[in-house]
Amino acid sequence: MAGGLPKRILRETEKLLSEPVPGIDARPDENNARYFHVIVNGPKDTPFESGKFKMELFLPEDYPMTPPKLRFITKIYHPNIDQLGRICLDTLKDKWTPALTIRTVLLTVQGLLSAPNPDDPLANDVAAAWKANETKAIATARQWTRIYAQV
Amino acid sequence: MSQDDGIEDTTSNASDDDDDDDDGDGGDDYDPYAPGLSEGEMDSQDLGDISPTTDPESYNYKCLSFSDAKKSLESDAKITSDKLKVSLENVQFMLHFYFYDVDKLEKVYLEDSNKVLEETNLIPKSNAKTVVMPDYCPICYDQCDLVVFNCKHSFCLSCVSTHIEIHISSGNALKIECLQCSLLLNRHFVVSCIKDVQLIDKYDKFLLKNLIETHPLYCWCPGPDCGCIVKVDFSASKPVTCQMCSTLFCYICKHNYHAPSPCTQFKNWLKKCQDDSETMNYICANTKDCPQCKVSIEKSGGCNHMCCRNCHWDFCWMCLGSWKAHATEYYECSKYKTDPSIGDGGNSARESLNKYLHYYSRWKNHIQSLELEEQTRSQINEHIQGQIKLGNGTWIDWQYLLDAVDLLLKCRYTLKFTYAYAYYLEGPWKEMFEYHQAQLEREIENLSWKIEHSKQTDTVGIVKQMNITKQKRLTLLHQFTSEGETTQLKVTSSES
Repeated sequence: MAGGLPKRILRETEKLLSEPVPGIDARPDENNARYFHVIVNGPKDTPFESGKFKMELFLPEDYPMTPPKLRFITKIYHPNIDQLGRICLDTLKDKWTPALTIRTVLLTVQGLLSAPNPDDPLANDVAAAWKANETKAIATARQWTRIYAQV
Repeated sequence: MSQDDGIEDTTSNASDDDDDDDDGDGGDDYDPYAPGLSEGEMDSQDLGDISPTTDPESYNYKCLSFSDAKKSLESDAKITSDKLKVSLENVQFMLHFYFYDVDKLEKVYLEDSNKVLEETNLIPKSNAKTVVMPDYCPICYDQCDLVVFNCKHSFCLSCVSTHIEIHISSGNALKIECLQCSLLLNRHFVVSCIKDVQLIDKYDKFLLKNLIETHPLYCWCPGPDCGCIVKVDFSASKPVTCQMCSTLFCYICKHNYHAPSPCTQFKNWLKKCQDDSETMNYICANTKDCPQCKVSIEKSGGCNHMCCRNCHWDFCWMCLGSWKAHATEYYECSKYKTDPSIGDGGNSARESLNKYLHYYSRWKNHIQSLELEEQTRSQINEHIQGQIKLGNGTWIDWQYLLDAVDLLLKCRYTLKFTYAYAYYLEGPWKEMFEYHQAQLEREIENLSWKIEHSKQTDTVGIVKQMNITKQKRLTLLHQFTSEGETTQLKVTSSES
């Protein structure tokens, strides 16, 4: 791994590899220790169940003073995730504190998949559909999971 | 208001806060609303029914420098600080949190001081989990000396400094929190953590900036590169002229002062002008609406026989009647020949467009006139300088002429905005407004003529005309600005 990497990042990476978050696989890129390839398993009893969602995570220069950058690569039908895979999550923005870690962030993402919040939407059309007809929206989300989230 | 009392003492030396006669006579810089420019001695005699208390444009404000503003804010907070026995700095945080509602803050604080301190994150939450002191910094995982916060969270000094630096660099000084919870870090602590003097300076600047931006009685002068801070007695859509850069603006919306238009209306008007004017001009000049489906049609050539591509209606371009009646008159319309007004009107879209263009063209016109009057001003100035050199009177003798041009500029300025206002008016109130507007316009033109022919006109004539024009302007503003709106309500209710 590259020299000059802060102790904090080294330790977090070690811990993520030795004790992974259940249902989440996160490993650093061979050439860039600040870039992580992440695969999140869709949580049980959700429309994302049995899906494997690819994500990318990047630790900026100021990390942990500034939050990690996180994005879904796999297409996903979710009111808080937009077409480009950007995530509306307060802990990734103004609620970030340096005491949070990659692990806690990944756990919140998993939580977001279990509990979509259409009242605080990023993808407006998806949120509107979710609010208008939840059953139909869930069916669409399940269909998208089947089509796109099979690695 | 109690919080204002203390300011007079601290800032009166540093700024000219009164609209008295002295400051307007100073120099040649044009400034249509400079305090004292119009509120000269004449006003008290000639304005009759409009006293300073009912003058719709009278507004008390002060222009403060950065350090004066800091002092002023501190002296505001000092009163509350003494009353609540809380440090000045904490009071400033609390006032900010309470949107500067001093009465509410004092009441709530005296009822339950801990609640307020907790709510504003000045002390740790009472229900916070107990924190076990780690043997390493939880941010960088290094084993080193730790700084312990009031919330018992502890970090190494290097991480705390970086954290603070990052917040300051992003322009946030007011809400720098603990690295793990929402406890606010106060100035004393922040300053103790940063060694860089420049950064401390930056921090203080941002702190003041953050406080001013949320304070209802303070604002930054919107003038380009002007660092002046304006303090008012009460927040209202009134004219403020920055004493540093002479920018004239409305305190509420920070746009150009726009009486008699209210802020929102003026904003709509500006937006409309930006969006529509060019397109609308073109549409109006080059197209007609299909008499059947009202779609806009541009005639790009050919004869008068038009076939609407939208609804397939055949009509005549000249009289807009059905083509059936025209038979072979492809290049001339007999109906139009006998009555050229035929084909106009009866089209609401175009009517509304015409209405807009009516006001827009006048608005635009007055902007140009204003620019021309600026030229007149410099010409007059030259003329005066010449006369003085020739020994015809002294500078004081010619002062009235400059005053007259300033008044003219000020009146034209207001007149310009009356068109934005009139566009949105409806009903009998509009008639009344347009009557006043026409009166003002006439007097402005008279004044303008007299100034241009100042060599032939005697001083008394110009001074007399100045008074009439000034009076007309104030009457209009008085009746049609926010104070006047109560009258408007009365008028409309008595009519209905």
